Amino acid sequence: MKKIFITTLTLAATINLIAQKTPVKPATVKTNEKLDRSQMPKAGPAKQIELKQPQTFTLDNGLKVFVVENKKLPRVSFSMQFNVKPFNEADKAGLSDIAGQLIGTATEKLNKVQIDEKVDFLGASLNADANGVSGSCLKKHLNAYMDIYSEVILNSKFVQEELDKIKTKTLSGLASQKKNPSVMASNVKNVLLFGKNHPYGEIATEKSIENISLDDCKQYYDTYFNPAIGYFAIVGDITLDEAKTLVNKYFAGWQKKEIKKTTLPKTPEINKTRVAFVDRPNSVQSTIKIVHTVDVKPGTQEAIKCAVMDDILGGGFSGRLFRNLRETWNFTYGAYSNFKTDEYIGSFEAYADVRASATDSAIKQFFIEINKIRDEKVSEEELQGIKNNLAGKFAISLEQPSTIARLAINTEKYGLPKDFYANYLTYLSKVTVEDIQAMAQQYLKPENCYIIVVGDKDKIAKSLEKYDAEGKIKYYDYYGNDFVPLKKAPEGLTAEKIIENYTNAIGGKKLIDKVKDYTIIYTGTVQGFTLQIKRIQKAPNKYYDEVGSGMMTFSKKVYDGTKGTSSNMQTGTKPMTPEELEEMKTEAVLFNETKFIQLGYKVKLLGIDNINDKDAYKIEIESPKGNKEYAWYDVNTHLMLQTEKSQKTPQGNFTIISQLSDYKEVKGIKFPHKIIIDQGQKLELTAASIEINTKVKDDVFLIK
Amino acid sequence: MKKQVLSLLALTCVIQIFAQNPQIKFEEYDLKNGLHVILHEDHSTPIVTVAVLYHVGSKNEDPQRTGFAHFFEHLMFEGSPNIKRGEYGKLIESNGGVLNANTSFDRTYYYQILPSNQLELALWMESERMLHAKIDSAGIETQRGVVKEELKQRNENQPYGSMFNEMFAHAFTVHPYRWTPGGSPEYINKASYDEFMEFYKTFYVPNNATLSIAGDIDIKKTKEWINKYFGDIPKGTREIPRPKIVEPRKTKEVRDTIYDPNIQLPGVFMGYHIPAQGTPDFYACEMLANILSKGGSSRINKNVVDKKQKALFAGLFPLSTADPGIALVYSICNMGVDPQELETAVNEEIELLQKELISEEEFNKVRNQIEAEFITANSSMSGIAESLANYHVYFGNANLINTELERYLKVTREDILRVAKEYFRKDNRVVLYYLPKQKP
Repeated sequence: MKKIFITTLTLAATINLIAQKTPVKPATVKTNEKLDRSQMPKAGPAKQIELKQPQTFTLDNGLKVFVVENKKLPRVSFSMQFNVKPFNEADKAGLSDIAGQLIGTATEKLNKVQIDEKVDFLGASLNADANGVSGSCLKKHLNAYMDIYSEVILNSKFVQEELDKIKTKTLSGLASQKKNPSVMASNVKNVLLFGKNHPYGEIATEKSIENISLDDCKQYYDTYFNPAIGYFAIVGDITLDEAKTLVNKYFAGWQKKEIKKTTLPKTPEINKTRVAFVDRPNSVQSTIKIVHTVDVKPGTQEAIKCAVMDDILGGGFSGRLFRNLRETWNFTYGAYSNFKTDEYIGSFEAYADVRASATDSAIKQFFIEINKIRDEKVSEEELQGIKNNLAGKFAISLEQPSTIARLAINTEKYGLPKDFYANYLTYLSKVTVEDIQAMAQQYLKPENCYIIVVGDKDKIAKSLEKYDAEGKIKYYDYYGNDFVPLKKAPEGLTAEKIIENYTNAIGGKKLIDKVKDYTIIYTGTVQGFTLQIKRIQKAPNKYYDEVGSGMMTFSKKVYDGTKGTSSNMQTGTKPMTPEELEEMKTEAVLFNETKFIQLGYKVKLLGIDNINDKDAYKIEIESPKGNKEYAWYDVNTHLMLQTEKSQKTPQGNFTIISQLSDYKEVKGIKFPHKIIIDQGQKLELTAASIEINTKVKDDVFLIK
Repeated sequence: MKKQVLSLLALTCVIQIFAQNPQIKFEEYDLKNGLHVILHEDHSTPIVTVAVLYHVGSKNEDPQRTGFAHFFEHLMFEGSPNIKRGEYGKLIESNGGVLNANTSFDRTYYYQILPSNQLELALWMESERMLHAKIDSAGIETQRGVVKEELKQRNENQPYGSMFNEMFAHAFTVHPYRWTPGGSPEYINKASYDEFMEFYKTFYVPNNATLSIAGDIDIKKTKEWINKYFGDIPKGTREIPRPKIVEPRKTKEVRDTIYDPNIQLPGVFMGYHIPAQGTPDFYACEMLANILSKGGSSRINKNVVDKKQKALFAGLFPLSTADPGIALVYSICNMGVDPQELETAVNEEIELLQKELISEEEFNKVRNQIEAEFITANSSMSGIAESLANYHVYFGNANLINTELERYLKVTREDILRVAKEYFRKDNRVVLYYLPKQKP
């Protein structure tokens, strides 16, 4: 510690010395006798904001190159972007993202460790994603860096091990986002505005991520990492000649490929204003997003007018939303709007995180502001202020030389007039108060929008019903799926009591205990042929089931109380695995659904759900191993209406939902005579015969 | 023998190359009232950044009024006798600018970026709020509500949002770093008008402020305007309190578990006590942090995240603080990974640094990374203005913007081994597990 202290002291002394050697001239101007502080200073003469043009050239393979020379720092940045048109990823949602992460983890010559080592050793950066590769290096490392950079673009290799790692991380990432209010709100927004079959409305799920294969990623790379759709920006301490030499050396031999045209589905019409609610219990704030689609193309004069209108409504400190919701009402730390133009379909959103108790009032203020900018002309002064602000931000953005390349690439990409950005400030200066109102009236749709709220349903949902055109709130889950939240079950009611009621409803414990065996046959139709499921059980714990069609047996399980076999057409007959035997311990017990508690399961009443228009208690059943299943019981008849369990298979986890109905008595005990099994596809089964106490022989359960 | 000469030659080359940094020229001086002024002239874009750094942060707060400095930062946007309430931000924005402010443990920083022909406006406005900011009950009550929402948004409603608060509360027992600049809503509720005025008169005085300007300016004209608007602001008359509390040396690991309703994946966060920024050992700690977590080839990224797949992401960085602070390990478990496994994997990397000297090659890699980072750090006027102000206030030497690299290059491999042993000890750290809190 002492040593440090001394060093600091010496240092301070040195500084003093330097300061004395080069005394700074005292300011020569005297303070004004009396400064009139009420006078706001006038601006000096405005400086011309000059938009420099990058130097460009195009390779024979179609790669368009944009060079911006700027010698301020001895650094060069590279950004190769591919103009990938959005396309449907369908049951592989998340593909572009995963492929983008995989690109550059290995190449023909280098593995991931080597790539990382080389880039880091140069003190450089290199980032690949679905749309291209960007990065920068010091000027002196230019060639060493380009060796790696070009290798990633041209010769990426796809390795299963790296894909597996990325999938694991992506799945963890999904899990970590599950309770993030802004992700929840964005997911719901994308699904509602664009529809689930539109690329913008696709949400990656655990299942869709699992579906992505190494070949899918390779195909993505082969298709889109393609000079025919490539824009290459080179910015920094480099001359045009140097850039040409470099680009020719690395990319002239790169072959272009054809790309198939895709068409995008139409987005859903929004014909009234609806409230879309995502329940996030105990939220201290509500995330509000008021959203609808807008169809304004980027790089048009209309887009400029809309940007001005958007800033008046909800840009920065001077935006009306900020001044109203934050500065007048202190509902929030910040309220803004975002009018997003897009080549295909854009969107408008007004948003804020507000304190939970102010959700209703905040939504009211949002609409007051949205309506006001439609109904009333803005003042010349307010308009001028926002125009100045946008012009200033444009100037500030030009401080980064990459902006020049970006604007030139946009001009190419969207097919804009060559001088569009050079004239940007002129277009901006011509926007009038009439334009603002016209844009607001044409493009803001307070009568045709979604009010998305992520918050605590029990505390605030009721108060928002008035904003919904149908007076009814629709609920969604994290993925933007329809979601019916559970109602609260009556005070004091328990899962144990519901199971007891069920037991009584099907015939009562006494009758059930008298059953020594049963044989049940269900039949159904699958792809044209008849399927038969036969199940035989004998007390205390012998079990047999068989699935077949006519003379054929597809699968069979036999269990004699201690050991068992399971067979199917692919693998033949095998002894049961320890997991299967464990499952049999409870599965083989007759009427096990009435004995969960004795069998060591934990049961919990979750609430009242709605199954096929019937109110039903939903119960969670947790096995001693921690696996969870769910069961639903009719509130009135107490009969079991549905079960849900998940099954592990080599292809991943499947959720199996079974709906039970048409209960009929067999010797005083009610059995469901119709079962619909939903496992992705639906299978309807009807009871062909149910027999009780037929003195089933032990031979049936004999293990050979 | 020949080989040695060669490597020696190579070494000189390296040193020469390192020396070729683009130099940032600046002028600095004090006004009579003690306001320190730093000016950097650059005409490449017609914009200017005007920044004022007040040397007061959360560490100057009364422990019964945490969050006060930040709350006060909000009030500085409320106006002055010549700027109407609510007009401050609007005036800057409607004249083409952007503006904001932030509060740290050690200082409060205000900045605005404007077209350069609006420099005089920016100076007038900053001088207005330094001379006579309008602090009244209407403003206080509004901002009280806003600040409380800010805290909720940052801390209570975000995954792992309370981590910084918990980390510093566990790491420090007596030093004011034990609370973070956000402070506690309880004390936000109690802050009163009189206290704000007291705070304003003590800390928001020219002799406790640095005015840093960078961009398309004319130095002579700029000095005239500075004198015109700031020259008559009276010097503060009170003594400016600077806490001298020293956190005692740690001898026992602090460990705790936090249940967070906003998370699904467990997180492991660790804080190691390290020296203050600017000390030789702090530079060594920064290099050590790079070895562990800068770039894909860094040890934590390569081994913990990629090879062992224990973490969704993980890393270590030292927080730059004026008094001794902490180096923070942040790591989020991959799905199905137990936090203990993740902690062990991170511990192993740190322990290895305590046992073995890093290789020449790895050392050179880190030096290259530091060099590239340093050379390219100053790419914007606002970045330059802030760095100049920081270097002046914290180290009394604004020219470190050009020379600080030398301090990094003085660090040896042995230093890294030494600081690993000295500061990254288990009994010198806090370990926090963040676990998902199940719904009741």
